[in-house]
Amino acid sequence: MSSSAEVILNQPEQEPELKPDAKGKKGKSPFQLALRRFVRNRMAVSGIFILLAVTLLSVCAPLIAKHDPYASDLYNTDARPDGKHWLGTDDTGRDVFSRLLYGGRISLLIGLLTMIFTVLIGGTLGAVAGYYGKWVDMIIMRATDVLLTLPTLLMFLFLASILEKTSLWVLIVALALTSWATTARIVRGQFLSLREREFVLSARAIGCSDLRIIFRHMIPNALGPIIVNATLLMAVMISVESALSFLGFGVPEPTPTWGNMLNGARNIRVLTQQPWLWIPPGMMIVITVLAINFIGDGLRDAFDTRSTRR
Amino acid sequence: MIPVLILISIILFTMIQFAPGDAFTGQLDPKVDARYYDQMRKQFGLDKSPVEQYFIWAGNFVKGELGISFRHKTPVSEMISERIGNTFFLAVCALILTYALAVPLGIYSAQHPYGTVDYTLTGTAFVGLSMPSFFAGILLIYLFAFKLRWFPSSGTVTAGAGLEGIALWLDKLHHVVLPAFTLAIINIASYMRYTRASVLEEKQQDYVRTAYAKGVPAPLVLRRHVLRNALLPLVTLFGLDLGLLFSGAVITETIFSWPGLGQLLFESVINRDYPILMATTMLIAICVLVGNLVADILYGVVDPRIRYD
Repeated sequence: MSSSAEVILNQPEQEPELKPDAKGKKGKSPFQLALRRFVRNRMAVSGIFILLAVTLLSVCAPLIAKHDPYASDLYNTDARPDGKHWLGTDDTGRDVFSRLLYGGRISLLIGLLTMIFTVLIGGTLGAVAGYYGKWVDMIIMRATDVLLTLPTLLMFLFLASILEKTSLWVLIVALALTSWATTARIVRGQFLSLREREFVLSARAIGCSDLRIIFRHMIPNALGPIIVNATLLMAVMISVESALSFLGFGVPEPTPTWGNMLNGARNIRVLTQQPWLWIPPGMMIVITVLAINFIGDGLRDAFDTRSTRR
Repeated sequence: MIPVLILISIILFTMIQFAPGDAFTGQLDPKVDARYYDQMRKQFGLDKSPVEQYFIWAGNFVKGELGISFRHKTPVSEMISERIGNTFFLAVCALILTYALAVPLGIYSAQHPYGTVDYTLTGTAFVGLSMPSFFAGILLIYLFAFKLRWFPSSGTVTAGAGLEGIALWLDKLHHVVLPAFTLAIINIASYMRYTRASVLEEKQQDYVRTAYAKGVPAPLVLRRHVLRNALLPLVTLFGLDLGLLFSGAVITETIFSWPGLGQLLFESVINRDYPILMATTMLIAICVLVGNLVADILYGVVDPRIRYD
């Protein structure tokens, strides 16, 4: 495997496709070509379908799950799965199946929002570092050094010991603030090489502003690796959120998330006697993360980038 | 490396300053005279200015004095040295497990690509990469400790068994299997995929065709030519993954009640025991940086094409 990381070959696979065809229509753009390669990838497409299914289940939770995920039924706690409660009830008598579907909303939302914030922070800082270079680059790269030395989970645990209380938004912002380093590195690498390309030089020569060069000319060309990174980030974030909630530092109860539901399994009785309480949310995490990883791998092959090892 | 460490320590220290209250706020007991807490704060140096506190802390850290735990009132260095052996043992077992499983399976996959076994292995690797390690851990406990009763689910040795010599080590190994596997799962999957991709790529090189053409038997081509080039980078991978190993250890040790550094760190987060938290986090940062350095150096050693100026 070549270790020349962060190389993008956004060029079309065959030269003729770029030329206008007989009817005078424009040729396919690199993005259309990537899309076509992506659609041909069976694993990636099945990933899309699985993710869509999980999202649909979560979004349509009120239609499918008949019980309120927050409503305790103290006369019916720790019930086994039956016709009424498909996955039984937990220790406060809440319907596990409802919590599973509603929990998907929060888990997916956290994954999506954290990914967006992370890419915005990392992308901006990486772009600034790669475009302006010099001391700006130096400072931002030292910051990424610090963040990359301590894994996200440890950084976050450290933060969690300081924060009085966590909430959904605190969690999302804190996760984004501790994990933008990889994205920044990738974008910076892209920008460093793009900066020297002819079309950027000519854009500068005809007097385009920095902002215009960055947004019109450089970002579109760096988009491949950014999209791949963003996709894989979402999988990582769902995973990290579940681990944090499992440890008791994630989204506070009683909000259902898959990680919170697994938190119950820290109790040895739940772990050994009531597997229906924790195996389904765990499986949902695995399935979702797996689907997103398939999509990410498909995108990487489609864009032909090798920006990350996994 | 040193500047990064100093930067990390400053950031962590600053973050602690923003923490609401301190280690004694949570323990306030109305029956105890408020002056006692003031006295304790003085004893721990919490009445000084943050900058002063940082320099005192940094000076002591360099000397190897890691402070005194707020909660346990014992030196942090003692608590760490008690537990570091356990974490080291767990990590080494996980590494051995990783290489012992990932490399042969990866090679087999690459030797028989696109067959049933290859697809099964690759699929399993995908699941392994997508499974949060805590879920893998509790699944293993459920299956192998509770249902099948093959392995114990917590501790490092059987309590009160009074074993010695070989029996003690066997008991330890028996206890380490599940946590080590939990810790290793992600790396097994990722190294296996790496090995497979690397061997497949190397098999297409011209020198391999040359070797075949001049009549070198296939097993020898694989051993002497393909594997040598394909597997060398693998030697350095673990140095880069040390950070993952540590964050994995926090989760694994917590699940399996394994008395190591990760569990200590997690407890210190819950108790807001900042001297311990600071010391363990810095220790991990040092290990990760040293790991990266070792990986860089090893890479240069095993691959003469790489030169550092």
